[in-house]
Amino acid sequence: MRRPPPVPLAWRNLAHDPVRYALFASGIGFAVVLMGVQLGIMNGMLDGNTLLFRSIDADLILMNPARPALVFPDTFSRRRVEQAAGVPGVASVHPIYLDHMVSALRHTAPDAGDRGQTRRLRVIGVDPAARVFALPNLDPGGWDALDAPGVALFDRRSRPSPASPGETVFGPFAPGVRTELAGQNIELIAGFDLGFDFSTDGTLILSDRMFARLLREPYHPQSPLAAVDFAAVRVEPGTDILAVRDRLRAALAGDDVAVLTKAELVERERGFWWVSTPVGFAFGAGVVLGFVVGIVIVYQILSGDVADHLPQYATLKAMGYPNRYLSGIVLQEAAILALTGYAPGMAVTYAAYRFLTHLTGMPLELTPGRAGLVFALTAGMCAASGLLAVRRVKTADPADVFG
Amino acid sequence: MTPAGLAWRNLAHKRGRTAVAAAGVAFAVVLVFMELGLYGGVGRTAAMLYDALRFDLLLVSTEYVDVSRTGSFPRSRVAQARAVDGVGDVLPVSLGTGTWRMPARRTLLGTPVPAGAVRSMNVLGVPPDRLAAVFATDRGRVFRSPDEAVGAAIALGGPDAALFDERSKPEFGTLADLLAVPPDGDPETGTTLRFNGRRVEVVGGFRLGTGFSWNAMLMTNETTFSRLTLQPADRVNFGLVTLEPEADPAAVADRLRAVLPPDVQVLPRAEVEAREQRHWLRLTSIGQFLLVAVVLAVAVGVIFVYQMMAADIRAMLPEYATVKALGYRPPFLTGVVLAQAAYLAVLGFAPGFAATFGLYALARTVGGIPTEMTAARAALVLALTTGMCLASGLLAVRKVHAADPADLFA
Repeated sequence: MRRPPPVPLAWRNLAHDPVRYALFASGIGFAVVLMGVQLGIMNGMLDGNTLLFRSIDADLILMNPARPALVFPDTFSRRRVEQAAGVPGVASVHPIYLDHMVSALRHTAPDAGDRGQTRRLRVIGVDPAARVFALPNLDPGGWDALDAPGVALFDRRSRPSPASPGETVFGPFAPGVRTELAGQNIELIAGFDLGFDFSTDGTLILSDRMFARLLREPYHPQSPLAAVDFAAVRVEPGTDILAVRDRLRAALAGDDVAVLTKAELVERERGFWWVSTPVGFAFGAGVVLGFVVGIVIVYQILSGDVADHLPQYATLKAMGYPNRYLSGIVLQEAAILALTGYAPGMAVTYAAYRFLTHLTGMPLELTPGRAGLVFALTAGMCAASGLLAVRRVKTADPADVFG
Repeated sequence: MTPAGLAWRNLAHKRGRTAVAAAGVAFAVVLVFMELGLYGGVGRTAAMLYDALRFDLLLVSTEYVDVSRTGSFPRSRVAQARAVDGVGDVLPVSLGTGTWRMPARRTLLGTPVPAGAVRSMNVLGVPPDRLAAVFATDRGRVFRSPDEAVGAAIALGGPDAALFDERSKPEFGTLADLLAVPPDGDPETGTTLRFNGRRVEVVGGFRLGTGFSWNAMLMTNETTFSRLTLQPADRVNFGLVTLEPEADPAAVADRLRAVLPPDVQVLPRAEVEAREQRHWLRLTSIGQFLLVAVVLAVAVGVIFVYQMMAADIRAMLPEYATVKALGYRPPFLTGVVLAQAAYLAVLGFAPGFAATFGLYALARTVGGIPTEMTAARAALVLALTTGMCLASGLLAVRKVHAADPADLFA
């Protein structure tokens, strides 16, 4: 057996006919776009539900372990917050209050006659001084202004109204807009950019005192803030977050409160929506179909190529090259096709993400992990069809050359 | 030999290659069918419920957004509406949401999952004695017959009694399993039936189905409903208005609007359906994104079919050149290529169409998405497939005309 000469046969085979090569690569590129966009949409929809959690500016979160997701009403006792504050390594603990049930916002139309509609939204109550959320693009001075009574921060990216462009489904949202929340006067003072999700069309942030007065005192006049929805724990600088988490878990023994890192909380929320909505199935189906269709197209390309070059392969065989060498060429072709299909496909995918984000207002993010997954799928697709096509090379008979 | 006959022999001769090309077309067909089905399923989310209810006009709160956010109105509106001229009857129905303690179960792969995790579930509150009038039992919806509805009504009388939707997502438990759970829970598996942490006893089943709004459904009498969901007993979510025979729906709707306070709206059936479909397809993110997926699938499907066809015809160029050398005229060759394209379209469409039924069933049961094959969709995809195959055949035919018989002997 001779050493194969260093001729990039696979590359030359493909580059020989550039038009055909471009056609092949574009075929794979389309499969990449199909998988990439479907995967992006699936993740984007799940990401949308974790926007609020990801904006919490803290290291650890306390919550009721029985609460399936953000939108449910399970709470825990404020006493636990005070207990947690005494644990070594904890710098501060800030309660977060949430309401989705009684927080009906009256339409904000400038003409009072058009304000008939009320619609529920998510209302958050926090201590303005603690700045518990890192709110993107918050109007300057927003947190300080929140100390005043009767005011709220508003999410500019609340669900846009389909009928009137530039407005939310709650009416115009801008600093100075006055309306009613749960039947009492409220003024919007500063905006931030968060976003809507499956369960909520919009978000307002109030000071904890206002939250208690508007949404809790009518129902729990004695102890409006005794039940906490979440608590954000900041650890002392330079302390190991996981060590503090474990200390908190030990200190808060019992099944009424769970201690999670922010990443664990985000993962938990994603998991809930993954199993509770058919989003995974609806867009996962597209990924799987893109993968299968990709295998078929790559197989047709490679097997067609093998069939076209059968005499050449047979000649190589007659010269003494082993089957392994010929299979290597086919697999290299598969690898080259995967790479050259992936690059433009991913570029188009990225453009599609930007376009869809602009179109729907739901951000699609191309993280390295997701780009890597699409690459792995593309490589797997090409490898699978490469291995199928290799079988045909092995049947090449040197005698055919002279047939 | 006719062009069609020659094309058939071509395909029959290279069976392996034909199979690959047909498979490629078939997968593209499945891809397009799947995305269209899922998109259609989003639009059918609300129809799952409204198709099953019997009404000519629907009373809903002015806060009504969609079937998952209905808002409520005072029960007294039902009685007020009943008194309006032309109204046959008005029945109250409530729809609430809550948490369900999942029973012990097995995954699709057979791994056991312990009881206890909490998932969201919906519940319908209905007047049991009027079940056959609330649901379209005449069309076999929800209950197979009015008699079955009467049996269910008797079962629903108990204080914790609930019926369970047999078409709920499988992980919520099968009806047989839930019926077998003793009232105080099954100590062996740890399964106890709790809705919003309150005791329920499953006493029977009904058939509704899931969509993008809910994964599972219970049905109870109104007292139990209000105990489970904490919705006050004097509030309801829907009023089902049926008209007297020969009453004019538009006129009755106007009379109802004049009589009822502005906290309720009166919607004719067609408007409810159009509104929900528009809402789910156009205004929810999932509808918008699935539309994108449909466009993408059609584009990719069309390109794949073209590539499959082009590659297949290209592979047969020597044969065409031979035919040419034998003296056949260009129209004959065009005929052969087009016939080959038509055969491939059919060979690809038929298995793709058949496979789609299986995948739709999977989407309905495992995915919980109400996908259904419609004649219009089948016709559309068939037209797309055939059109695409013929178009790529016509493009490829130019190569055939350019084929030089002498090339064969080079």
